[in-house]
Amino acid sequence: MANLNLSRLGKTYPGNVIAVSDVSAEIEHGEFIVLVGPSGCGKSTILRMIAGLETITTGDLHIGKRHVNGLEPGDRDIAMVFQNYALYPHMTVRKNMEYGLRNEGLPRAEIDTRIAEATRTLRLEDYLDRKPRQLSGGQRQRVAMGRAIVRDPAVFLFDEPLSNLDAKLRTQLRAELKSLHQRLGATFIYVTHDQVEAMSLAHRIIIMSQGRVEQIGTPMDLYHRPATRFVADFIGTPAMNMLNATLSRDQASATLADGTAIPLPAPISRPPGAALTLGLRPEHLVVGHAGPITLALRSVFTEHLGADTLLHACLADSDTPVIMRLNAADAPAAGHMLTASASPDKMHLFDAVTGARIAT
Amino acid sequence: MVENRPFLTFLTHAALILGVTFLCFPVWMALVASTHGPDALARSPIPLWFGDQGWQNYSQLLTIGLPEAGGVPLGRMMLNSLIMALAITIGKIAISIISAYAIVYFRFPFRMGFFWMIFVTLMLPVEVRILPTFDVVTKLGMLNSYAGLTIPLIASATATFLFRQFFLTVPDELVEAARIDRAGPVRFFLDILLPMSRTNIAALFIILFIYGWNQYLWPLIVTTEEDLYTIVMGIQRMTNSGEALPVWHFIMGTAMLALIPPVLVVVAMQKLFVKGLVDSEK
Repeated sequence: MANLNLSRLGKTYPGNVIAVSDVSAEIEHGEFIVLVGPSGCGKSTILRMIAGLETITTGDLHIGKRHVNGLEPGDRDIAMVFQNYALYPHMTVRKNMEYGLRNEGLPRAEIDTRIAEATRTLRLEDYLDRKPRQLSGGQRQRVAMGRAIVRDPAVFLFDEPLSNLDAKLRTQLRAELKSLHQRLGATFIYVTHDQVEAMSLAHRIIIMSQGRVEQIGTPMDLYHRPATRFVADFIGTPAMNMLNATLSRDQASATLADGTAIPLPAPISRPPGAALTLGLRPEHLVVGHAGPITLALRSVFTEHLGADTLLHACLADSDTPVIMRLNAADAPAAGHMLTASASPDKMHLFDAVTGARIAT
Repeated sequence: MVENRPFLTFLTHAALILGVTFLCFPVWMALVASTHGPDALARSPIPLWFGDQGWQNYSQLLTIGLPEAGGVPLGRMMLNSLIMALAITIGKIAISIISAYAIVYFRFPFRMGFFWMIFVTLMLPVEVRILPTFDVVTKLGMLNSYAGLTIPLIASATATFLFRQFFLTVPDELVEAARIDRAGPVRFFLDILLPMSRTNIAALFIILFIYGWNQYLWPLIVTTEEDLYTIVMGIQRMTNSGEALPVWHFIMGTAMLALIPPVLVVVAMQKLFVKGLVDSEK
């Protein structure tokens, strides 16, 4: 069984460019882990360090019981699927899939069995004798997955495998990936910048920013208890509404710039006047005066998405944007004033300076 | 957008036909001249249609050769040219593809220094470095040998540069995928890079074969034995026959025979050649 142990991994490029620093994680066998973050956050670097395509500057990496820092990619018991597929253009689909197995010196019969099995799983039987350029993007990506599957590795690595595909195909392949994971029972590590992909696929998400881990947790953890302001902002579409406020004298409420008092879910032990960021998800705001939190808003425009409607508004006296997700299509017209309410226990509190979550 | 008007079609065809005629006329003249006796070509006007001496002329050229050109049969010269051209072509491609592989895919000290050294030699054609090269070849005792004829012409900056440019367009992910597939550097080169370079190799093969076949100055300098004469030298020796009249019918016949191998190479590899110039199949 292959657990993965990342212990204080760091990557520094020549010229002292720090791409990744101090990343630790314990990945269980059979887990589906998604590394997510904006571009340049180091998520691909981590994946490539696990694959052995980048050297590890500091820290240790164990796959199973083996310390693999110094091992070649071919000896790490991993397989990788690349964003641009990286199929060998001059080889047929069959040759592409069996190339690694032939290099391992597996007997012919074994290779044939594995390829037959993988092509059945991925429905590629009809394409075995075609060259990659005769395939569509989705088919190419399936071949790339096939090439990974036949190697029967302990860990599958995916580097933004769906980003080159159109939206519909992406959704379809996402579902296929998920069922593939269930069938194989292997460890999947998947890199994406798309938080929807991360939320829908992962058992646990590692969310990164600027070379550091912001939070590791299940998708619902990240959604309901974001550890930092960055995570709160990154997870969820549309993004969480962020309001700047200062802590009032009674430590049980906060004051917005326009003087609106916002009751906090519980008193917090910070000096009065401390700068806070209040986070409210668009789906937790409702139209009306019900309170206890009430916000005076001016609507700007609405987006009708079918199932729900997004109301883009801003605080009445400032330009701070506030987005509300409404069920009915009864959103007020542009320029209209309205009052929105929310419950304090749905509110997230962050330290405005460090961005860390304030427990309540 | 390509316009389709009768007048333009006529014009383009006329221009093309004119160009082809212009280009082919000398070849036609050579072909015709090689079938006449010596007298027909000394008179004016020179004939524009085949004579009746073709068979005789060519059989003499191929069997006994010309006394004016040292009496070596053309077959021998053709063989020498072929050996030289093939050795130069294959040698150049082999060396340049390997050195381009080293320069693109391996990190070693002074990598760029080596690349620039190779690149700078692009500016030094054979003619410029001919005296020192001759000196080296003499001291190595390679005069009058196939080795002396070919080796100094093999090192090639152009081909190295072309392969380098091609390798740079190969996506890094392919190397990485190959590493994950347990392909070492030699495996990657043989199984992936070489087949992918097929069209480039074909294009270079044609260009270099013709380059090698047409070599004139260098063989003239390093060979003094008639057994090693190349066909291009043979033509030159026939025209330089001293006091006697040049034997134009034989010279033209030799030229026609000298044309055959390059034409065969081009025809055989034309498809790959065009592919190599047009797309890189990725």
